[in-house]
Amino acid sequence: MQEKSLMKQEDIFSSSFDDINANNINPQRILSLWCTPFEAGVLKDLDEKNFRTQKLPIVLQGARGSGKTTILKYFSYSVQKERAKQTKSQSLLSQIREEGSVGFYFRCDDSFVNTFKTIFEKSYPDNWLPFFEHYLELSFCKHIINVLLDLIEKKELSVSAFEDDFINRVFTSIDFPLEIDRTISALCAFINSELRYIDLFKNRAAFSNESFSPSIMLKLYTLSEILIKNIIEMIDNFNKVIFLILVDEFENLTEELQQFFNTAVKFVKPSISLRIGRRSEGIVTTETINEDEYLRKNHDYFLYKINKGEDFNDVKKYFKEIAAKRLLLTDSISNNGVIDMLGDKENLDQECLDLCKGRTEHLRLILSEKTSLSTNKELQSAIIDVIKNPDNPIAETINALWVIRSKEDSMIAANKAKDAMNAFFGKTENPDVKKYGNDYNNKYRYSITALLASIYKKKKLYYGFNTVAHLADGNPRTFINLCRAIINDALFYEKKKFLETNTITNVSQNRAISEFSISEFDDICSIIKYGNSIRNLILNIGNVFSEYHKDKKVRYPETNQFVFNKLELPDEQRNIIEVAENWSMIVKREKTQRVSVSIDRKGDIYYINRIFSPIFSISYRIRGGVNVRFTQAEISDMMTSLTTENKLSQQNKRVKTPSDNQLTLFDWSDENEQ
Amino acid sequence: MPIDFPKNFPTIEEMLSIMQKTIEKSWKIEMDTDDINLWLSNFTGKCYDKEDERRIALWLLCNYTYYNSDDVNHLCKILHRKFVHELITKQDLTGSTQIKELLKSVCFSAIGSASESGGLLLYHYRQEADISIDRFFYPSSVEALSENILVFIDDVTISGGTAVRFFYKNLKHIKNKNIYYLAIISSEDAVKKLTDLGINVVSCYLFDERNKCFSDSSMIFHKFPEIREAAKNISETYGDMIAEKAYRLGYKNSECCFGFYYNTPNNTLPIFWSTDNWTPIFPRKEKLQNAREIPYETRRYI
Repeated sequence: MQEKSLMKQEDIFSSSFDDINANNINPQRILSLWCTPFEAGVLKDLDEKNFRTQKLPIVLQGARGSGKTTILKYFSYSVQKERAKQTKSQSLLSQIREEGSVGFYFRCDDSFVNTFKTIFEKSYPDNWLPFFEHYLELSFCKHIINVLLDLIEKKELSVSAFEDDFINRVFTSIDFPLEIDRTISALCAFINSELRYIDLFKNRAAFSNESFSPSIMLKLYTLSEILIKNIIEMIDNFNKVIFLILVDEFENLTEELQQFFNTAVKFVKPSISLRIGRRSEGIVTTETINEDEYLRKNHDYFLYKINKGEDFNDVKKYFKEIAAKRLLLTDSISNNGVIDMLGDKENLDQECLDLCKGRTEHLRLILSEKTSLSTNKELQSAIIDVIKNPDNPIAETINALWVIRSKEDSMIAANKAKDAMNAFFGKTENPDVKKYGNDYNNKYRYSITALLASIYKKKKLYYGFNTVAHLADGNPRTFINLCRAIINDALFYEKKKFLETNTITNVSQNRAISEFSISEFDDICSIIKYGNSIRNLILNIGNVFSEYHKDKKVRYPETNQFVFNKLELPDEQRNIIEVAENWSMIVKREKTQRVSVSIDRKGDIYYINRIFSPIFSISYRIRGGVNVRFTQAEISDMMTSLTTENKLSQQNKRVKTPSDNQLTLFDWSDENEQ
Repeated sequence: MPIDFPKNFPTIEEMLSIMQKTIEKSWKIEMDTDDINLWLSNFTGKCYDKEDERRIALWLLCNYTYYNSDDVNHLCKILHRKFVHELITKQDLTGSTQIKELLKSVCFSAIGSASESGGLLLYHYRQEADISIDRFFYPSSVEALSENILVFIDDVTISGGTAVRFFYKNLKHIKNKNIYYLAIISSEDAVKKLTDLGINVVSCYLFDERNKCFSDSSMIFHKFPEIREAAKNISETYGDMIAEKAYRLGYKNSECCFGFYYNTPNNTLPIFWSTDNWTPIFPRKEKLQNAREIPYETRRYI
């Protein structure tokens, strides 16, 4: 390794994909990595201006890693200051005026909240909430005053013209202790000392019987509203500005704190609004502190769901931009874009050629599925001679499927399939050419590749930007993590080639993706509540899908969705499902749909998070058709142990096996296929 | 001759995958499969089948501990805390002011000459301990100091030889002072030798039999004791070819398996660091003891 040992990898390849947690990224970095999710699919119905200036509170709902923190931080004052800095001609004041809002970011740290609650509940049982309210109000006021101090420091606000009048107005509205000097800095110092007092009290309370005696007790908005009102009245540029409380990780709050914030949402003050980031709906309450008042969507607040119902092309565009921004910050490789680096789509033809290597075992195995051919090796060979196309394993496998599905004599069916194939590739007339084209280009390509991989005891490869975008399932953090894993793999296994060509081989991509998939699965299962049950459930469901993908008759291509009735489940199992949903281990499709191709009933359809597809060598694409149904007992068994049900054989009993050549059963329209 | 590997012994591919993660998450250095394969190509089948030798070598590499500069900083921080703790107990200090005052009169130095790695370690230590630069001295100027507490900082002492020789040479000038020897890694044997000289030893990590690659209680082969002898045989065979006899398994059979970003100690197996007709994975920068050891071409310019 010679002298290179003295060099850190990060010096050689400063991987800008390493920053994945917005909580740990500084404002400057947030700004430089920002790619707007607004109007771009993941938040299609919302624009930045509306998010900044909408008076009605907005709740952003999204899965873990969907970008809530990045969005909230982007609209925070600290990033706004960076924006003003970068727009050199723009003063901070005019930046604020132009944007029409100033936002202050608050993260609901559950350990902080729990400690706070425990400490104050000890001294004031059942009445600790006013202390939290006091703390929040002080923090909010501190941020507001810091904006003024920044403007004064930057000489964008004249102290002499502003301070006396402003302070007089504030001091006449609130009874502050007499000893505070009547200056903005003194007010700031007072608020800081009150906050410090609470922190110290919190730290000391466990070891003493000291009672809490602050200089002043504030309710939410008592001081902040006065500060804001006077700022707006006295500084022209703040005329139309609203102040935003940006609350992140709302789901971490205790129920009474959620009620408290809900009340704040319901009764927002003029020029103050809230933006709340939270995970799923199921774990939050809509109650307020008033027994009769509930939050109502679109009346008290707007709810926007990140990633839901987005168009896949928009997601790809968004991911492409995220990657471009990060690649731009990486010195060692030229920024030709993520598609040049990973390739666009999978080359399934080549993958199948590499799997089959001219062998015909797959054709023989498929043909053996037809009773009349299963024992007649001679006829099998004769048919293989007709249908084979060693340069195109997908086409010859489709031919074999046509043969086993046909009611006609097998040799006649083989010749028909061959003619359709030749007509399709030779672009000539044939009654079956359209169907052949659909089978080849669309319906069976992926399933056949997965099947051939299983026949030749190899794993289906996962590579290419399209695949990565699918696996990330609209989640920017997963996408960034996948890119990071792929780049790091390439830097280890094929660095020279990577740095020379800026491209990464399929093998390297597949290895990185597969390892990431497994480690993500293990990591999440090891930290969440009911981790073992969720692990069992997902492994079992994944194995069921895997079984479908190995079906030599390819009857239910790319089956990867399942249905069950959540209401049938006992409480504990329902809780397990909710945790699995909350951590996006399983995902509920946005709209209720027909539960399966053969069942005329609508219901909730679920799928395993796409990122786990490589574990089971299954398709990551969203398709319609057959969804696997699980009963309450099956769900319960699958949570308890690794006892995968043989659902494929059950499916065959339930859904009439399509008669030979009845391919129309699967002629559904692909919903999102790329 | 093939090695009879236990069934669950990792394959080359599995170990490369481990290495990738280790390098990415822990070592954080520029090392890739080309570097590893180049190093593995040193093993040419002198004892066993070539591929089996390489599999064992890769296992040793998977168990190698590499301290990068962040790790060294962290270890220096721990070393300083331990030293302060030692001061508090030995000097019976009661408050932080007393400690701060006392630290102002402590002198810090390295073992060996100023250009050796001890100097680099002092730099790390000073940063982590947040001690004024005027408290650091060249080893050669220590004897003239009037301060009562002298602290010598070193990275590794396994045999204790270098440190003992240093103190024998200098002790007559400083024998009435409180001397502390701070080492990141030290062996029990070295601690005893130095304590016998009246020196207070503080170390981050005590190296014992479990850390020796091929001891009966070796942690590296705890799961696979059946291949320990083969691994030792390979290390000895190649060690004989690429290092002097005293170094075939690391200096005086130390059997160490670690190194620092700035250098690899000679206690470590030479298969990792030797440059004698060998492509090392962690090359060692040898100390040149006097001008005669410097290559002739270079000597002309001195």
